[in-house]
Amino acid sequence: MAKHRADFADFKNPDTLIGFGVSVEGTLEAEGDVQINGKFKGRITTNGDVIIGDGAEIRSDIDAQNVYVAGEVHGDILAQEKLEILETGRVLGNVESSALSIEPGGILKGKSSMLETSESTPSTTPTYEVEEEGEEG
Amino acid sequence: MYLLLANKKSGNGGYLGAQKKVESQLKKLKIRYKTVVVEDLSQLQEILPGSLSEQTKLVIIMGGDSTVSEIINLIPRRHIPLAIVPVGASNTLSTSLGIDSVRKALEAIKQSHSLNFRLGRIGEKFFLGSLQIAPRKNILKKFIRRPGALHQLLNVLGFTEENDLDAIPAEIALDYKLKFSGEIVSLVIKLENKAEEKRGMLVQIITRGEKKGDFTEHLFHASSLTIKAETSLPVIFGNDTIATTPATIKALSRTLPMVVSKEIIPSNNEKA
Repeated sequence: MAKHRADFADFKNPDTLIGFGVSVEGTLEAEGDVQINGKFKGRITTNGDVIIGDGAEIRSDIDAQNVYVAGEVHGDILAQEKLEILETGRVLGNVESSALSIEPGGILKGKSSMLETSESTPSTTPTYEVEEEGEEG
Repeated sequence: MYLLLANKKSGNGGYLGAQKKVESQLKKLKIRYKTVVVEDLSQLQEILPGSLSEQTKLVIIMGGDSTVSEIINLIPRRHIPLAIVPVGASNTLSTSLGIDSVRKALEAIKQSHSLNFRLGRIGEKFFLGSLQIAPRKNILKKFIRRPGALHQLLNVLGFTEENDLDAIPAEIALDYKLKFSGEIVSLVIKLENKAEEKRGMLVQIITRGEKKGDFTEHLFHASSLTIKAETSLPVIFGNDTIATTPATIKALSRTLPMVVSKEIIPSNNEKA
């Protein structure tokens, strides 16, 4: 369910949408795309994609297909496919994904490791860990 | 074989005329039927199981929301379609099916259009389709946009601007594992009629936004919801207040085939 950059702002029909100005706590187990623009504390699991909107504050681990971060995430992220940290995004936690991109301005404070995809061949695709730190503020 | 169930107390005994009309129609259509009239809803628990058989193809309920709710509680999981002949004091369930009169019920039974509906439950009461929880003032606002005398009256009273809408602090627990806190302008629960939608309810919550006149939408899927608000809010099904907060609302895990008026058959619903 790969998405292009132009699609990031909003999902058209998210399964779950937490808008601005509210706080939600607990375990969110969704079956589809999740978009969070408000505050969330707990755990997010979905078989779809997750967008953390600009201004969102998340204190939660996230387990999803693709994860796009434009807000702030305190927690670990497991993206089965792609994790994208956008220019306003901050991730303070360890991340694991098949592909990772961080836009200029985006911050990752934590360990990053790559998932082995079915297409990858261990002899040519090294598994590695990186720690990237962007400038805060 | 059709089973006709009538509640003597429904609508102050208004069932009798309806019963005669239904029986007359079934005779004309050469459909075999059995009529069971109960003196009181409490008798249903004893009478209903023995009245249903493998040959029962349709249960026709002559009564209002209370009678229908009681029968739905007792009906076995086997998919027997239900038809409602609205003769109760409150007939919101049948109205939701497009059946707001005995005449429409007779037409619907004759046509036998049935659709699968998921039912929701709040306390002892069932609902289908959707319900709304909101401050009374906000519900009144819906009518402001409709031209007419009420529109004029509400304008005179000053309910004119969108930012007049009340927002009430509330806590909502979804499936007992998610806690939502915010200032609620409106909450709408839409039951999902497709059997594969396991959770059963789409919950749309509107809260006040950051700026005056702004509103924010939130969406969840859930099978149960408990709402507690700072002030008691009405739970509206159709045009009726069926409960007030605090309230727990659940979606039944199964769907039920119900006879509907052909006017309301939506393209995206399942035919029974």
